[in-house]
Amino acid sequence: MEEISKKDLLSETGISYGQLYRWKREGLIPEDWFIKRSAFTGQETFFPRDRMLERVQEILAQKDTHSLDEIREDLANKARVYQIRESLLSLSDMNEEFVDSLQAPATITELSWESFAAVVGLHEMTIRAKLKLAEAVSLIDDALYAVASSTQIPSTMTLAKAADSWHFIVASQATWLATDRGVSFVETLQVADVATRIRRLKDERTA
Amino acid sequence: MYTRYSGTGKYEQNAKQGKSRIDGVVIFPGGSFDELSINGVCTSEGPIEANLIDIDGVFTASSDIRADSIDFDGVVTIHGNLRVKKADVDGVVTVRGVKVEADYIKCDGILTAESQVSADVIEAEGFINAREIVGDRITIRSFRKAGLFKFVMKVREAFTDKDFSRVDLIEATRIELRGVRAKTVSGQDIIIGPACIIDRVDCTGTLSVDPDATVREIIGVVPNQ
Repeated sequence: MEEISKKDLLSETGISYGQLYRWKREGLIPEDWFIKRSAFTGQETFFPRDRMLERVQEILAQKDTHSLDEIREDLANKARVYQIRESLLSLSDMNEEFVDSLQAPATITELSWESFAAVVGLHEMTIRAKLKLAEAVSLIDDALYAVASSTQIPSTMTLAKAADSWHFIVASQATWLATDRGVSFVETLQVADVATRIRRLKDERTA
Repeated sequence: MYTRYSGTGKYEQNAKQGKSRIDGVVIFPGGSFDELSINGVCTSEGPIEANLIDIDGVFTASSDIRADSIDFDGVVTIHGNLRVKKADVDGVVTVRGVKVEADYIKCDGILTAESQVSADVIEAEGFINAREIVGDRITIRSFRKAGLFKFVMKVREAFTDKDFSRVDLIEATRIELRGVRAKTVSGQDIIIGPACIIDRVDCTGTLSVDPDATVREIIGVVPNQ
């Protein structure tokens, strides 16, 4: 995931320190987007580049006409996916037969945008890896339950294989993963990339 | 409704109160209040939420405090986070949680935060010690003997750390400091006043450094003096 430094963010967007920290306090920018890293000069702060630039533009577009509370509510609504079955049909490569084979959408009312994107991305990987229908359905059901049961924001999704069985690993931050020789990582994707892509698709379709 | 609790011992209350006044040596569970006045030696065992809090005496909060306005006049220790619109610190306040968040902080006493203080505006004639202070406009004028700084520093043993505010990182749009020791000061428009010792200043706008200040490294702009 590409990152942008705090200084570069302020320079590129023209916002001030005061605005950045006020928006953080008001919950318009999630705390876990402030990524602290040790640097030569001490601790420096970085952000997920695409998400942060998009978020700042969203806030700037509304700040003169809406209160911070209203902006926060709007962002929260946009950050959720409802009607999971319909969303999977319209924003993923799953066809109706596949979606109707899933059990999870019947019990999940909403997901965060990143969680939804993680599952969509996993499905795309199962297609490329040529999983059988039943294997893919089982994996996607498990993935939906996993992301729905956590408040963590998925960062990476990995498709893995152990012997003849397929597995997924979803991680919430840039994480080093290692495994024994019995498990092989087939493919890993950045959830943010999938999220950006399907968000654009959604915007195009609702425009 | 005005509810008055006093005396020693523990009192129980669960309902949202009107004006509440707590006196004496009291342990209470915390709760939700309109106006809360705390005097004496008090401890709260749960989170407190109020429109207005007035604290005198010695108060220990075991959890978070959230309010529109808080007046701190005593010795207060908060074992949690502090979230307030306006805070007026005249006593000694220590916040052990991960954050202090406010719209406005006025500090004529001593505020110590173990993590980050984030506020739109901070005006301190007292002392603020924190890992980070961030916001929009930060003014800390801690060292009242600034005019004598150059002379007095020759007899360095006359000074202890309590004569300075100590912060690792100060970051804001506009910063004015006096009597502050900091590792890094980053901002748009910065005034480093007398009796400051700063390791690194990173300025993107205008910078002024007093001759009686020590700044080891400057990044960004050339200072006006």
